Amino acid sequence: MHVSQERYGDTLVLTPIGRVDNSTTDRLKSGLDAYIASSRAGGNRLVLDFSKVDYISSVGLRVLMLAGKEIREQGGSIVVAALQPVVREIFEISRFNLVFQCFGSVREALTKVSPTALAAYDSAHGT
Amino acid sequence: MVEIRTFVEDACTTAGIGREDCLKVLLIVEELFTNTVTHGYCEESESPVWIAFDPRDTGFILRYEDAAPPHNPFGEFRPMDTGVLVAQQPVGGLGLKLIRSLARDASYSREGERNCIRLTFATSPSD
Repeated sequence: MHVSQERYGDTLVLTPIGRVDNSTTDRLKSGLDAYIASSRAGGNRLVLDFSKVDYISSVGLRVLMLAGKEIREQGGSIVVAALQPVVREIFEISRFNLVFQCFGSVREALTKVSPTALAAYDSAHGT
Repeated sequence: MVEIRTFVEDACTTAGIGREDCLKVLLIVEELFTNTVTHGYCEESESPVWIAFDPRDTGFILRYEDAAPPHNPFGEFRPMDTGVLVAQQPVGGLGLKLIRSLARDASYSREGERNCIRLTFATSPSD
């Protein structure tokens, strides 16, 4: 599992790729920690693109929960996009879908999160 | 866990279990194994576990065993309070919640020197 990132305007899109399990959760945590450390108080927006995540275990959910708490305490926002079927089911079982706003795609998430980011995304993707 | 993951994926393929159901089994086995190593074997991950699949007409049975001291993980399981968000739930209960929700049925028995967990799954028709 690794985490790629793209910035669109004032919003960062983090894309974990693979399985978020016991052996890989640290990589997701590193990506989130780096974002939290570098983000400005009150001005940070993050979209977690889960389109390439097969599943997430309870250890990974805990990392997400703590990161979300920290980001919100800084006055920022974090949303989740493009959950795959098994991950969506895990989110619903654990009710993480109530903790994080979930969107069908990154573009849909950016529509809600930031018009500036949406414009940058559309420009980059030719939409 | 790598060896276990490979075994589970091979067993799912052999038993004709689809990808999404296989991912759920992998998640459950990881949660069980993490519980075994952390609590049963006190971080000694070289101690053995036993995993077996028993395909049935409409699903399959997963049998998971370890040789840790007697412990029924479902004995202390409490369904999540639907009025309380996951962020306020005990962390240790999340893995159990996933197991209980993803499997159709779950039971525990102590057989000789082993903890035996028996999980029943219904395979997805479309998977």
